Parts: sequence; C-alpha cells; structure tokens
Amino acid sequence: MSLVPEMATLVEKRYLDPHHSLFRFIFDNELKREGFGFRPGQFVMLSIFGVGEAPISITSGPDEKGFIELCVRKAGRVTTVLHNLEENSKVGIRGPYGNGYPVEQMLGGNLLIIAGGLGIAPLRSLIRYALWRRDAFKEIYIIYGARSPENILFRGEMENLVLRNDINCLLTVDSTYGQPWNAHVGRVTDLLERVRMPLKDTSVAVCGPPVFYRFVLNKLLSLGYSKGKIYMSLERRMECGMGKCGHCVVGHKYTCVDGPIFTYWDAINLPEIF
Amino acid sequence: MTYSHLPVKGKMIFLTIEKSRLKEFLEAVSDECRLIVPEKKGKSTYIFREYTDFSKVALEFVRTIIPPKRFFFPPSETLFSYTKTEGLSVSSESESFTVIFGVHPCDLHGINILDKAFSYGGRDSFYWRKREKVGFIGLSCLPDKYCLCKSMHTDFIEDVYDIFLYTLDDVYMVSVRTAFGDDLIRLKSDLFKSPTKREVVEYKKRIMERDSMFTRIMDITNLADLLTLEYKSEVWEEYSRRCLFCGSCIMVCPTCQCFDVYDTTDLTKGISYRIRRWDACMRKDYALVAGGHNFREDRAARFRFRYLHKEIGFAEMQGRATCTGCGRCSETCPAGIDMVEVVRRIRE
Repeated sequence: MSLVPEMATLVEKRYLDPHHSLFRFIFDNELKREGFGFRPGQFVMLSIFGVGEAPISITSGPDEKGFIELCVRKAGRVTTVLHNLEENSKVGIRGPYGNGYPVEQMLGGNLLIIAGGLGIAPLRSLIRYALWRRDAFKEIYIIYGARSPENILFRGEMENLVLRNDINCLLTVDSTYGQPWNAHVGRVTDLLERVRMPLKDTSVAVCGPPVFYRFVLNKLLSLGYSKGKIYMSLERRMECGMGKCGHCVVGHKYTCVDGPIFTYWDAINLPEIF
Repeated sequence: MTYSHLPVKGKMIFLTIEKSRLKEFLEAVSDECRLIVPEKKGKSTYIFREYTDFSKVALEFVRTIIPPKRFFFPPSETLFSYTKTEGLSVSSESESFTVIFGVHPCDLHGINILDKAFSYGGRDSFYWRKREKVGFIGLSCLPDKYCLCKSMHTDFIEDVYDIFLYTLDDVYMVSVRTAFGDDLIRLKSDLFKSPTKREVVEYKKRIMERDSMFTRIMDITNLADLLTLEYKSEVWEEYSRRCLFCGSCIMVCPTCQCFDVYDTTDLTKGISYRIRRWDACMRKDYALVAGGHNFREDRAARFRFRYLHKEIGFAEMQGRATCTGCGRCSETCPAGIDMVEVVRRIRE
C-alpha cells in the first residue's frame, strides 16, 4: 500500500456533456495494465502532477481488461485540469480503493439500479458487470434520471439498454427544456412505481446527489425494500484512500476503506450521513 | 545492529543502573545510533532533540510541547517528486537508526495507537519506513494538574518500548522488553545489575505514591453511550463559540494522525512535489468536496467531531479511546478549553 501512484496515459477523451467527459487510461507498466482488477463501486486516486490528486470512481466494467475509464465532472482543481488535458498526457493512478458493491451477494437475485445525474458513474460499472453475466441475475431494472435530455450521460448506451428486452431500463428527465425526448418526464420516484419484481431477493444500488438520495430512499422504504439490501455510494473528501488521512470519516467509519458502498442500514446509523 | 519487536510480555528482564552512571549508558547509545532526548526549552517547556550533552538532558519533566511522533510522522514530508522527462522519483533517503530516550507511558501508548492507525487499511510505507528504525527508552514520570493518564488507563505501559526506566532514589529500575533493548544494554552491560530486594520494595512504594498523586480524574465509564445520546447537546454549541479553531490541540496530540496531501511545483526547475503535512479536523474546509459541498461546515459539528472521534470514533479499530490523557491539549488551548470539563458537562 503506497501513496505513490502508477504512471498512466490518457488514451481517449469522450465528451458527454458540457461538464462531464469519459476518460480512458492505460497503465504504462504492462504488468499493472494486465493485472489491475477491481470490483464495481471501487475508486482510484487520480494524480495530475503539480496539481494534486482526486478520488474518482471507476466507470468501466471489471471484465474489460487493459484499460480503465473514469467519468469525471469538471468540479475542482484536478478535474478541471483533467478536462483540459490532451490525449497521450501522463497522469498517475493508484488504487483500487474501497469495498465496492458486494456482487457475490447480489448474484442469483434481482437487481434494481437507480442513478441520478453523475451517480451513473460507479453504477455503469455495476451495470456492465451484471450484463457481462446476464444469466447470473434474475430480473434487472435500471432507472436513470437527469436534469434534461442533454444531461443524460452515456445517452447512446442508455438508449441501447432501453431497447434490450432482457432488462428493463427506464429513463427520465426533470424537464425537457425544449429538447427532443420521448421517455418519461418527472421524478425517478415515479418510475419506481413501475418496477415489477418480488422485493425478496432484490438488491438495490442507488447513487446520486444528497437530495436525490433522500427522495429515493423514502420511496424505497415505503415500497417495502429492506434497508439491508439498499446499497448507497457515499461521497467524501479523500486524500489517502487508505483509511489514514481522516478526511472521509463518517461517524466511526472510513468511507475509503469501510465504504464507499454502505447499506442504508449501516449508513443511517452513522452520524453526519448527509 | 539488528532490531526486532519480540513479544516478550510476561518475561521481561529487570535490571538496575545507578543514576550517576546513566550518562555513560546514554553516551554509549549515542555512539551507536542517533539519540533523541528531552531538553528544557523555555521556563517550563520541554522538547525532544538530538543528544549533545548529558547535562542538558531533562530527567524530571512532565511533557514535551510536541509528542515524539514527529520523528516518524513528521509535520511535513515529501512523498515523491515528478518531472516530465524523468517521471516519478520516490525519496529514498535512508533513515538512520534512532533511539528516543525519556518517553513517558502516555506517549508510548500514543505510539501504539499510531502504529495501529498506520496499519489499518494497509501499512503506510512512509510511516513505517521511519518507524521501524526507531527504538524507545521509556522513563517514568510524576503527574501535574493536567495529567489524565490514570483515567485513560495509560499510566503504565507494557508494550512498544525497548527499555523502560523507573526512577527510584539512587537507581533506575530497568525493564528490558525487546531483543533490541537487550542489544543496547549489552553496549555497557557492566553498568547493569540485578535488582536487590530493597530496590523492589522501593519500586512498589514509588508506584503507590505516584498513584495517589493524580488530582485530575475523568470518568470514561459509558462515555460512548453518553456522547451518542448527547449528540445534539447545547454543550457543543457553547464550547464552539469559545473555541478559536486554531488547531493547537491537534498539533500537540500524540494520537492525531490526520494529514493533508497536496502538490507544489518548483517552476524554475520544472519539478513538482507531492507533500503530506499534518492536518486538523477542526479546519473549516476539512470535509469540503469538489463542487462545494461541505459535510462538516458548522462550528459546533467540527468541535463535536474531535471529541467524538477521540473518545469513541476510533474505538472500534483501536479497542480503546484514542486519548492517552497526556494533558497537552488542555495545557495548550489558548481559549482555556479543558477536555475534562467538556466531558463533565456532557455527563451532567
């Protein structure tokens, strides 16, 4: 375990919307490139030398080898510089860190994935994990909400998921803002009413901004989902990723080691959760 | 010289050394490796610094301003440098072997707590690179009005140290815990004898006397429950109005481990450095994330967080409160905030 990152190269930048892009990296070290394994929901510490380091959840699927993809919002110092980097630029990456989703426990059951805005970033990894081994799950529902149609990240991919008949993918926007849109307009919680899966054996993975969590969690509880089967991904300031620097502590847990994935039950018993 | 942390609990060797001959022993240790000792700095302040002269070594002092952690967890350190042409370069300065003399039981407990903290979630290579090359000669002490070690169960230590000296009338009772401690003793083995019956009696008398000298008591029974029940207490609000949020209590704490990681660039040479330095959970932007959300902005919440975390937050990992009762925070606070008083108010 070290605070020293591995060198990596930015090989591809994919524009998603004015604030978000998808960045693909490959490790310079061949052994690291082939050997880098992770679980959906884990994150890496991304370094831009001379600027700093930031925790970013992994957006590519764990079965895609040789590269990793990070979906990043232009939000702070490091991420703003990242957005301005040209392809073939050098960065540093260390990790993966965190617990990730307990996929072994999810296998064999139903899966309900609920994303709001950039919350799709870690969940895209879980979606790819589940679709890679589609037969290992029963029913799969994916619900994704964004502010407007142009804010639907990975729009092409998401629309392809809507067309698949082995899963149910439902999209919604708060408002169309006059842009073309033929899916739902309204809240994610409206779409939760449409989910037709037995509650038993259903794991729920939720990720989105704090206010999104509040509405979705209340709705899930009123629909009868178990707090122990609702998985949240918490965002906190992280500077080490190794349970030492202290910045990500919530109650008595380190988000970077004990999380970032917490069941709703574990999370509500932590003070300062939102 | 080799070094090993042998678990010899329960079969420690006890020896004695005449007080007048401690100088010879420390000189021998200082010939062998870097020796750090406590020295008087101001009127009543002490610091750990490199050994120069035995007459400067403080043998009867209560606490140093900064705990000894800075010798393996420095206030600021460069982790690596980076240049476009040469890539990453991890600083690989070879650490010289260091012995710190005069460490009191509370601070040795503090080191034990830091050792666990820097191992949780994976060993911190920068910490352990230095820590593995530090040995300790502990020294007994007498409490002042700030000492809380008895309440925090840190007034004795059976761990961490290599050698521990109990001050008696004419001699030090010497406990040798590790093979490395034995190596040090053997540098000057003629100075050490087996304890006499009279010295054992004196040791027991001294321990009893010391035990009766504690004037400050903090009741930590069911403190975890109380702090949880009083999470919304107005006491936090009240003290957070007095607190200056200067972070002094954190800078002097033997178990505060938080750090900040940042980059700095030397533009003339085109080198960037990654630095880590001590950080303080009471700082306003401590829990601020990119995009502007601050998970702990409120003053009372920041004040409360430090207390909760010292007393119960790390308890799950450490198996105990991480306060060692050294008294530094209460002595240092410019606003005169005293942890014992805060805890008493919560208990009322």
